[in-house]
Amino acid sequence: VGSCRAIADPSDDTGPSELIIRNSKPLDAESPVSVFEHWRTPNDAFFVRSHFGPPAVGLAPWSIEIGGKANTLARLTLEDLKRLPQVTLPAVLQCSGNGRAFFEPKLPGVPWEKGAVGNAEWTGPRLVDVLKRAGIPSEARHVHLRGGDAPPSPSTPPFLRSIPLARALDPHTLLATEMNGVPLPVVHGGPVRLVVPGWCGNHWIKWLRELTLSADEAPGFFQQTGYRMPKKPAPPDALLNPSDLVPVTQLNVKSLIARPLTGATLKAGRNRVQGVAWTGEGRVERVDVRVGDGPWKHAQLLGEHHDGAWRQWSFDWDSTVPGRYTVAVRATDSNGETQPEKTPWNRSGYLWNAIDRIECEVR
Amino acid sequence: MLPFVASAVCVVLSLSYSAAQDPDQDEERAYARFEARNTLRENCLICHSDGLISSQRLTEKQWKASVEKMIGWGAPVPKERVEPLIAYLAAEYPSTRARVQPARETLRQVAPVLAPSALPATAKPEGGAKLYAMNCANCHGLDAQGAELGPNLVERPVLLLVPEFHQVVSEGRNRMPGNAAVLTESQQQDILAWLRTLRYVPKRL
Repeated sequence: VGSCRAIADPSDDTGPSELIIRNSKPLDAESPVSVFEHWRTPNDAFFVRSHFGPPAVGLAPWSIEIGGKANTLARLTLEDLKRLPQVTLPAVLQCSGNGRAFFEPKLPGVPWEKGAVGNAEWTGPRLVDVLKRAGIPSEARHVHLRGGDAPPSPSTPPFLRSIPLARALDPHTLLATEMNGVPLPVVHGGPVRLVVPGWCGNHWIKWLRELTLSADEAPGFFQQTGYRMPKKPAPPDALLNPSDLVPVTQLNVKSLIARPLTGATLKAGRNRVQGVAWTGEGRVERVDVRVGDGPWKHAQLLGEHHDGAWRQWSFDWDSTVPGRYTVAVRATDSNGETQPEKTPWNRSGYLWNAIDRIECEVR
Repeated sequence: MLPFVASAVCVVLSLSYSAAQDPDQDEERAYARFEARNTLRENCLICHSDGLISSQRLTEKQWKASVEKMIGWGAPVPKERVEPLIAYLAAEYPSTRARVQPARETLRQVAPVLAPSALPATAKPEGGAKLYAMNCANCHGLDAQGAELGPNLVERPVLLLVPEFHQVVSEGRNRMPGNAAVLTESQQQDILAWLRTLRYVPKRL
C-alpha cells in the first residue's frame, strides 16, 4: 500500500450519493463524511455553496468581460480559454464556514458540520496566462473577480471579490472549465470558475463573468466586510475596528475520519480507521490517531503529496476488547501547526479545524 | 387567499382554546404568530428556502441584525412588520433550541441540469419589451434587474424553462399576482424572448 493511492476512487456506476440539504434555495448542500473514504470526491457528491444561485447558463455563449482601462483585451470566450495551455491539478475546495455549527455561541450563516469540503481534479488554463493575454498594467496589485450569480435586488451587493496579484500569478491558480475530467457542472460554477488551491472557497468564484486588474482590493460588501476575521481571537462581545480584521485566505491544517462513522458497530479484532488530511500552504507531515484516553499513535499517510490536495491516511486499530470508543484524529503540517482541541470562536464561524472525533462500538 | 386565511385562523383558534388559560391573550398570540409567518413567507422566501431560516439558532440580537441586514439588501418587509418578524424568529428559532436533522437528497434531485427550452419562432423580443414595460416593470424594474417589490429577472434560471415561466407569470408567486387574465400565452412568450436577450450589469457595490 505504502506509496500508491491505497483506497480506490469510486467508480462511476456507484450511483449518486445523497447530500445533506442545508438550504434548498439557493442551494447549500453538504457531503456526508462517508464520501471522504475516497481521494477524489465525485461531482455528484461534492458540496455546493451558493450566494445567489446559478445564472441561466446557455442563453448566450459564455464570455468573461475584462474590466479596467489598460488592458488589450475586452472579452474572453470559452474558445479563447481552450486555446491556452491546459493544466490539470487536484485540489481541496473547502468553504471558509465549514464546521460553523460547532462554534459556541452559535452564529448566523449556513450551519455546516464536516462536509463543506471536497477534493477534485480541476482542468483549465492558468489565470496568469489569461492575464498576460489581457495585458497586466504596471500599477496592478489585485485582480477583481465577479461571479455571474445575479443578486435578487438592486440593493443587494454583487458577488465581487479580489485576490492579490501575486496569488493570481501563481501557476496553480486556474480558470477551471473541467472538474474530475468532465465539463464543469453548472451547479459547481460551470462553465468556468476560479481554482485557488490552498485558499478558501470564497476565492473560487463560480460562473466567472468579469476580471479586472486594479491597484486596489475589490470594493463592496463581499471583499471589504464579508469573509474577514479578527487577526487575534476576540470574544463575542468585543468591539472590533475594520483594522482588526483580515481577509480569510489560506486554509488551516485539518483532518476528518471517513470510516468508521459515528454510530458504527465493528467486529472485535483489527479494524481500519481511515480518512483525509490537508492544509493550506505547505504539506501534511503527520496524522495521529487516538482511541479513548490512550496515546496518540501515527497513522500511515497514503499516496503522494500534491500542493493544495488532500492526502488519505489509514490506521490499523487493534480493537479486541468490546465496548464503546471515541476515536480522534489530528493532523500536523510542515508549518508546525497542529489541529487544536477547539478552534477559537470568531464572529462569522470561519475555519473550524478542531480535532475530529467519532464514536463507535466494538462487539 | 381569503378562505385560506379564515380557515387557518379557525384552526389556530380552536387549538389555542383547548389549552387556554386566558383565551383572549392566546388568541392574540396565535394571530400574531400567523401574521409573522405570512411576513416571512411573503418577504424572506422570495430568495431563501424555509430550511435556511428554520435551521438558524440565534439570539434576538442576532436575529435583529440578520433581518436588518436583509432589509438593507432589499428585502421588502413593510416597516410595521419588522419588529413582529424579529420577535417571531427569536421565539421560533432561539439559540437555545436543538437543531433539527436536515433532509438528504441527491444533487440531481435538488439541482437538475437545465438546458434552455425553445420558444416558438413567432415570439418577438421587441413586442416583449413593450409588454414588459407595461405589465412587469412596476415591480421588477424597467431593466428587469429588480426593484422594491420584485426580484431581478435577468439571467435567472427560470428564463431557461418555458413552461415554468408561464406558470409563474400566470399563477403568481409570493406577493406577485397571477397574470393569466392580463397576458396571453403568446404575449408571455414575447416577454420571455426579450428577457432572454438581457445581460446582468451590477448597479451597486
